[in-house]
Parts: sequence; C-alpha cells; structure tokens
Amino acid sequence: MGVGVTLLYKTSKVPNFAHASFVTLGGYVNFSLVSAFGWNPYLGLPVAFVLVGGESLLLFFLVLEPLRKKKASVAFLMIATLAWHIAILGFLGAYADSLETLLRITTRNVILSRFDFTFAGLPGVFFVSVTVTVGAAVALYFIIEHTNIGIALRACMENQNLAASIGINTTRMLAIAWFLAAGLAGVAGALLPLWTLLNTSSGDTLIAAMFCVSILGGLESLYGAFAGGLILAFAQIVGTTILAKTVGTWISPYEPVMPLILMALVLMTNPKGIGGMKVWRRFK
Amino acid sequence: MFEASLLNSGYGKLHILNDVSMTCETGDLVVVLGPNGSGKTTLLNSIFGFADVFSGTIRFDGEDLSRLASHQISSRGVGYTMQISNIFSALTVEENLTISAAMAHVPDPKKNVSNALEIFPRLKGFLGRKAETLSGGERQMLAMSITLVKSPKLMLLDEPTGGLSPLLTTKIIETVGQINRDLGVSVILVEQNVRKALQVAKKAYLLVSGKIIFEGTPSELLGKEDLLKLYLGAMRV
Repeated sequence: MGVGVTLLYKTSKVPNFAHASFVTLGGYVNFSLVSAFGWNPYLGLPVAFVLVGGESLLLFFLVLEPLRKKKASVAFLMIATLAWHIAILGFLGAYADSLETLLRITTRNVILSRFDFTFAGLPGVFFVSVTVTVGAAVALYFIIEHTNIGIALRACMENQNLAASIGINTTRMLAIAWFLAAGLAGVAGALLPLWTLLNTSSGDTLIAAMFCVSILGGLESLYGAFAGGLILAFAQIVGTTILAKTVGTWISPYEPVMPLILMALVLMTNPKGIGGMKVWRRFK
Repeated sequence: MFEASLLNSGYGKLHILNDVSMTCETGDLVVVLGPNGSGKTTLLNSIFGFADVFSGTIRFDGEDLSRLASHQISSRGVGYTMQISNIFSALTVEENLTISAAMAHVPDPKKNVSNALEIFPRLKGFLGRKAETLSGGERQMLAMSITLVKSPKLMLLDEPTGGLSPLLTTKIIETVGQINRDLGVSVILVEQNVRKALQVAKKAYLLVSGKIIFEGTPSELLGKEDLLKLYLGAMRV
C-alpha cells in the first residue's frame, strides 16, 4: 500500500488520500465474491486488482487529468483525491446496505477467516500475504528496471516534459502507474478480511501506516518504501510485543499509534527518509 | 517543410511571441538569434507543445502541430533538445538512448543507438553509467544523441553550447552542421554564439522582444552592423 502511495507521488506528484478507499474497495470486492458466489477468497485477489485498478482509472481520467490539464496545484489535486475518497466511502456504505438487504447477510465488521486454510498451525493468509508481497516486489522491480514500460515510467517520474519530448505518452504512463498502485492496494484490501474485521472504513484506519511507509522510504523511493514497510511491520509487531512485556499489556491497544510516532520521528530527524540516506544512495 | 505563421504564444496569461512567422525548408539549418528574454526558447516550446499557442499556425509536412500533444509531435519526426533538464539523470546513458529509440518505433533501435554513438564516440565508454555522473559537455552530447536516435526529420536545438568551453562549443556546433549536412536532418538552432552558429546556418532570424526583426542569410545579417551591435552586442559575435 505504501509503495503505491510512493509510486503515485513520484509519477503524479499527488499525495493520494483515495488510497484508503482503494483498500476498502478491494476488501468488499473479495467479500462480495465469497458471500454471493461462494468463491475461494484467494480467487478474488486478481479480480480485486483489476476492479480497483479500474476504479483508479476513473479517478485519474475523470478528475485528476482534467485538473492537471488546467494546471491545478498539487494541493488542489490532493483535495480532489480526498473528495473522491469521501465519494467512494459513500458508495461503499450504500453498497454494503444493498448487499445486506439483497443477500440477508451482515456486511459490516465481517471476517472471512473461516474460509481460509491453515498450514503448520498458522492461517493461510499469513503465507499468502508474504508470498504476494514478495511477488509484487519482484514483479515491480522487474517491470521498473527491465522493461521499456518501466524505463518510460522512470523517465516520467524524473521529467515529464523531457519524457514527452522523446515520444512517451505521459498520460498513458501515469494511467499505468495509477492502475498498478491501486491494483496492489486492492489486493492488500482483498486480503484484509481474512485477517481482521472488514467495514466501510477499514482503509481509513490504515492511511497513517500507508503514508508512514512512504515517508519512511523517503516519499520518492520505491525501494525505500519497501524497506519502510518492513521497518514499520517490525516496529508494530515486535516493538509492541517488547513494550507489552516491559511496560505492561495495557500498551497493546496503542499499536496503531506506532506509524504516527515513526512518521513524526522520521520527519523530525531525517525528513528525506531511507531513500535520501547516503548509505542507501550508495547501495542503489 | 516547417512553417510557423503569425504565431502568438506564451504561458497562461503571459503573452511572449507576437505574430512570429518563420520557415525551415527540408534539409535547411536555420539559426534563431536574439538577446536574453527575447522569446527564443518560447518559440521552440511553442513548436513542441510546451507553451500555449494563442493564435497562428505551426505546420510541419502539411500538418498543424499546434493541435497535437508533445508525444504526438515527436512521433511526426520532430526532435527537441532542450537547454536544461535535457537528460534523464537517474537513468544510465544506455537507458537514455534505448528508451528514446524504443519510443520512436524505428525499425532497428540498436542500429540507431550505435549510429548516434558514432557521432558522439565519447559516450561509448559511459553506457553503463548513470547520466548524472557525466560532465557538462558529455551531458549535452547525450541530450543531442537522445534526439538523434529517433531519426528525426526536424531537430530543434535550444542553446546546445550553453555553459560549455570554447573548444567544446566549436565541436558541438560543427557536429550540428555535420548532422544537418550528412544525415539530411533539418535543424532549427537557437544559439548564443552568433558567429559560430552563422558559419553553419543557411538562414538566420533575429528575434527581439517576441518579434522577428530580421530574416535573411547569415552573410546579410553579418552585414547589418547596426543590428548586431544593438541586439547582439553582448553576445559572442
């Protein structure tokens, strides 16, 4: 999710607040397929990728691209993504109500863990989410570094005028970036109800984590964002466990505050994040 | 053939070019001169769709370019080497060249890349290096090569010698002449080094405060002492 935020910031220069709704939509796509058609929850992942990617194209072509052509400021574009997010939240609320009426099922605070498999005593989502994350990282690396589309995307990230001057259709490249970033958020959202409760504001609770990962990575470094994701996960899980053992279990419910603390620490001490560090640049 | 007619353009509400008309016949090398702030870069930006065209026409091979997006103008055989930010510094030299050739959909991109490297052999040793590590002259060579690998019919060059040493300036201007002469590429060159540019040009325009005040051959311009002193005095005549 954080990598998607970084990808969109790097290509479109927009901090995308609609990313939270991409996650929630992905969750409801999977929930609908499981509830209405009895699908295996993992079969819904590619569907979520395509549908949420498609939704982001609507946002891009109907809202952001016309505004960009009118030379709207970054702040204006950011507010537009926030407005889209609120609209999608409204849509999801209405959709959840309709689904509840139609199928006579609960559509808020639902979990799909009973449809999951177990392996070595652990839920399947544990293995699948790790595999999907590693797979997405490898696929993204391959696309970005070794294909013409990836090089064209990197060219657009650096200088859109120059990219256009060599014949790159920058609008198409930005659309690809939006599709990829939103698709990945959709897949993450589709995995969400296998692990935790899904409701129409599930994505909102993760928005701080998404921006924390992106800021930790340096906001403009894709690989930095991957590293940021690992650091945040480590801090949230291991950090909270250690804290619970040392200061008491009362600290555990405050786990969601961890991204905000990390974000504040990074902004105060190293605003360029991991991607801006000398060691990282040398490694690159 | 390229023709701009009664072109009025600028950026947003800022009106910079006023009724500019110019032509560049196939195979010609046209130089556009003028003092700083006269609108030379805006002229090239207008041709390539980076500036707002308020009125007038820009035609290349009979097609109106002012209705096309920049990437479409590029696909019509027009290449633009900008004055600054003209290379992808985060990409390697090779990636800079291959992506440009790939986007041009030329029959044999690798051949185009090797042809460009024959014109700028110095780049051969830096193919795997990030473009940000190149020197000023090498960057300029790479910038021109990025345009060359597309096999353009018309090249727009915005001060390719800006900030370079006199030796490199001579080399770059000679190479521009060579590209025009040997490859048959039409060139519109915006340049500050007046005398060197006029040596390779077939036609010259003098742009002052957004208006063309002279059009003619280089020798005719060199004969206009008053114009040279008044408008190009501060430049390297």
